[in-house]
Amino acid sequence: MTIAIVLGAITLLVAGFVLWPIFQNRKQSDQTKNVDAGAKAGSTGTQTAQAETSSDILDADDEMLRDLAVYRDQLSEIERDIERGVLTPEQASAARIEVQRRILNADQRIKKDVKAHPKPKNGTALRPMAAGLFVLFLIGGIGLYVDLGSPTMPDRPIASRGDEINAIRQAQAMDQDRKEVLNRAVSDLSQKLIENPDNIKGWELLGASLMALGRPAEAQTAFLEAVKLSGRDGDYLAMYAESLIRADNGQINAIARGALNEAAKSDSTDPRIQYYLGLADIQDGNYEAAIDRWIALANGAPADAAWLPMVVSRIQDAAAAQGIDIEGRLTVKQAPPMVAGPTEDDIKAAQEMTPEERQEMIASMVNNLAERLKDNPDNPEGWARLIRAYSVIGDREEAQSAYESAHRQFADQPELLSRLNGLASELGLKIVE
Amino acid sequence: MIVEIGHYALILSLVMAFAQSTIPFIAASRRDPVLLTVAPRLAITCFALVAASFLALTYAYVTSDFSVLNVLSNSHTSKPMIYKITGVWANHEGSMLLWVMILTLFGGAVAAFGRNLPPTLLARVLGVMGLIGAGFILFIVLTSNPFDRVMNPPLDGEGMNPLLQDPGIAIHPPFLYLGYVGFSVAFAFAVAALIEGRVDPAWARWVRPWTLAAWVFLTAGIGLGSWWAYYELGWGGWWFWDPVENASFMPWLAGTALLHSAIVVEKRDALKSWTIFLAILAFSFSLLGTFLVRSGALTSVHAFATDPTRGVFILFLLFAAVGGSLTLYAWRAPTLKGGGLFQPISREGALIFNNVLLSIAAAMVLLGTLYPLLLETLTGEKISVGAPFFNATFVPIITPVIIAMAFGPLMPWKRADLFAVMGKLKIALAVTVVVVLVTLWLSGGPAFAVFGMGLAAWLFVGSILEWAGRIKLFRESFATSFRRMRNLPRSAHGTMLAHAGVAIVVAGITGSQAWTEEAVQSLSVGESTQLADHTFTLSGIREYQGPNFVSREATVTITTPGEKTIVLTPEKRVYTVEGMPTTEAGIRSGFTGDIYAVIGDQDESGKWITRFYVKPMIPWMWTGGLVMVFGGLMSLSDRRYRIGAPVRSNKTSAKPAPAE
Repeated sequence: MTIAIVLGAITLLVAGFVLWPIFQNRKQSDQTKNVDAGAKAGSTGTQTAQAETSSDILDADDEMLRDLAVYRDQLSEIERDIERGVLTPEQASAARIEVQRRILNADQRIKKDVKAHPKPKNGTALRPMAAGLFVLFLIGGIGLYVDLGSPTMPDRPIASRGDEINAIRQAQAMDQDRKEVLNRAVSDLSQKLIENPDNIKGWELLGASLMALGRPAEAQTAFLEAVKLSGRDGDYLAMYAESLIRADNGQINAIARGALNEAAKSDSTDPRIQYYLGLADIQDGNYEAAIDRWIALANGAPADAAWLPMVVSRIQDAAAAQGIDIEGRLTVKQAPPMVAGPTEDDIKAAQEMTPEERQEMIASMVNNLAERLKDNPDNPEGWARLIRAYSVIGDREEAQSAYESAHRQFADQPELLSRLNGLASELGLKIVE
Repeated sequence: MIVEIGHYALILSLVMAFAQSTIPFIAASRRDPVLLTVAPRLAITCFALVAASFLALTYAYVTSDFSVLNVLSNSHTSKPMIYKITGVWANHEGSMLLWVMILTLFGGAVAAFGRNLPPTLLARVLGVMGLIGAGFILFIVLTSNPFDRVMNPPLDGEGMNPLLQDPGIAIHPPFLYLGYVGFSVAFAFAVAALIEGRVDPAWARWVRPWTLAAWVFLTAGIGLGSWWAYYELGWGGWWFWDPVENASFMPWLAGTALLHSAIVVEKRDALKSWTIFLAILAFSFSLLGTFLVRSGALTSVHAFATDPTRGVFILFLLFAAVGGSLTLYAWRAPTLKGGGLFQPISREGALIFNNVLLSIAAAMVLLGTLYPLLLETLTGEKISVGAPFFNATFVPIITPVIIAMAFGPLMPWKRADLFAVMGKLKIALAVTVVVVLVTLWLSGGPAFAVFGMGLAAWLFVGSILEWAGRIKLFRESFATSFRRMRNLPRSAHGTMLAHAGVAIVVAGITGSQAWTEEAVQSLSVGESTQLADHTFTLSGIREYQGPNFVSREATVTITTPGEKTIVLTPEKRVYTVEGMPTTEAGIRSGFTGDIYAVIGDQDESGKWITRFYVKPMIPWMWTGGLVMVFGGLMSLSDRRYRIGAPVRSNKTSAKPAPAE
């Protein structure tokens, strides 16, 4: 809205400035008419006003004056040339005669010109026409801006984008923390599993942690232990297969295929089994089979399954790419429109954790951070991250108390305090005086 | 919102330009006094709007607003502030906006200072400038809009070509454009005069200062460009007959001829047709240069625009402007009445000689620039026309010009006695002979060097002699001479300086081309090599982190028997965002020449590849350029260029107001 007012004001200002002489002259010629009609012609006031609008700039006298100015300067330059010794007095007088000849010529020409162009009548249709032309251009310009411009789009100077930058830093920091937690989990679990190698859950957790750390080749050993210990349980076979696939950059090799087929025969309902079997079909070039498999998977899935939209959109992509008609075969609701098909990374992220797991992970990360700050409290960045993290997971009380602890910790550093207070007010916490 | 205001202002300026290219012509042809006063208002508003949009774009650069595509593609937060600002015009869109801003600046200036021009002439001049402006603003809005936005802007930009992150290149384009576009004023005056059907001394008086200002800027711009190439590209070259360099050189040649030709119109009321023609030519060359750089028709260090739609658009503008004005010239020029008569041997005759040769020189450069393009378009064959072609064609044409330059200022108007003029140049001839002999004795050649030094000496002494003759140096007491010098019009100093500047440039080119010595070698730290009289020692290598680059800096110690030790620190930088290396040469300039050092990479044995040059007299080139610019400015400040302001409202008294 503001932008419309500003742009409108600019437009009016510009149009007003440009068209002012036309407008003013109109007013004045009306006045002149009135004066002419009312009193004797030639009131001094009107004459001055007319001179200001330069309605007489085309007079012969004025044109002569303008030309004379040049010739006069040329005459005075002849004088200077004599002074300089460039011209002898004879040459100078010749030059003077030439200038005078030019003055006479100019005088004749101007008189002829003015006769040839009689003064136009005032207030012809010419001026409104010119103003109309201008307005026409103006309308065209406004139309062009409406077409090309983005009037509703605000400026985005980098200084105003602190939140975005913070969010990315935060995400990076969280990722770092998560990795730390996972690494610690991996080393703890490995230790425990050496002591007690029959713990199936332990192997599963180790495998999942390694997968989350992006180390699928190591994860596959852990999952293989779980498969063996569980008596070839379908769920563990699926996990094992996934780690093999991931380690092979998404290629489904013979071992993974064997594991998936074996899992499919078990009573496991893990969606990964059918999903990866479908992917294996696609890698064999058997799109029909893959689509059949995935449609069955999608139709049998709970409506709120987190992975469902991803599978649906893969079905649609594969069908569209191969020109296979799946009209009416999918009984689930249409996948929400995705801008682009999910990438391999999206699948990984979606499959890495369930929502509960994610929540747990964050909570453990936050606790971990809190622990570390208790041991080593001189870490302003850490405190800021902790306060933010508590408020992200919705724990306002903890956020408040973390903020207060930090406030005590840095009581003697006013610069840090002001930053902390800024953060607190941004998150809506109570400011400590 | 500021960005959008900028975009809107740009489009409004297009509206003004359209109005400016129609209404003033209507006003002039119908001699409507009210509409005639609208014309200057349009020109001034047009400039204000373009300037506002330029400021808005600058604001977006300074604040790193990456929602503007142009900023995103050409800037980066880690760039130092100066290059955020210069980044505005270091890219296609922004540089076109700068081009148009300068164009409308000149239009606005003509409007603001032109109140004592004949109003119909003023309106037509502004109309022609409006036409040029409309074409180029339309080009920007439709094909190169710097205000295109990005919906989800990334948090940092893509950076800027590191070669352009240099103070020299940062101010090079504005100067060049002030020069290029400055000729648009002369062009507009020429076309307006053709429409009006008359060229009078007042016309020339107006054209000259604008042309001179454009010439000064263009000279400075070309000088800066070659200086930048010399120290930044790292091979010690300064002029490559690169098509883009030629594109700036052709308008310079035509503009130089125009400048001299306009003197004749002003002083002698002659050479009108020549002057009009040269005004059209100079700006046509500027447009051609813009086309060559902006269309991407060429591939060179300068070509950072490659988009065929843009090329076709500018080509169309080029044909419209050049074709239209030349057609008008062919049609109307014969009606221009010639003025004063003169003999072939006279100041006028010398200036025609100058016009002809400079035009042929420009044509030669044009041929060498366009021939490869035409050949490639027609046959697909790629050839490159380089220094050998230009040495064989350009040098023989320009040599007589330089010889005649010493004569010209000594010749009187109308008719001259060649022998009398030669008599005045006896001393120049003597000095030339001495310089030739000394050059032969000291260097023994090569022949072109002896010739070039002689040419430079001839012109330098000739230029000084003319000036010295005017102040009667050594013929009167020193005090008298000094008084006469103070009385001399500034344009006389200007002529002397500009001509002497050319002589200094000629000497610099000759000396550096003839006697440069270079050595390329691998050195370990501590090792030395010998070049000319100097011992170059690589005394250290260090790496350091700049604001947006990492640099390897070498310390090179140069010892010369009987002289002070010199330490140079050439660098090789890698700009981290763009991943591009640049060379920062280490240069020590002195009166006799430059010592130039470049550090390269390590070879297989771990030694550093280094290049050293000894370049005699090379700083003379830029010094000469500066002297030329100074001469131009001196002339520009001369009183006779100022417009005597007639008091218009004082029309009741027929007597003109006294001169200022």
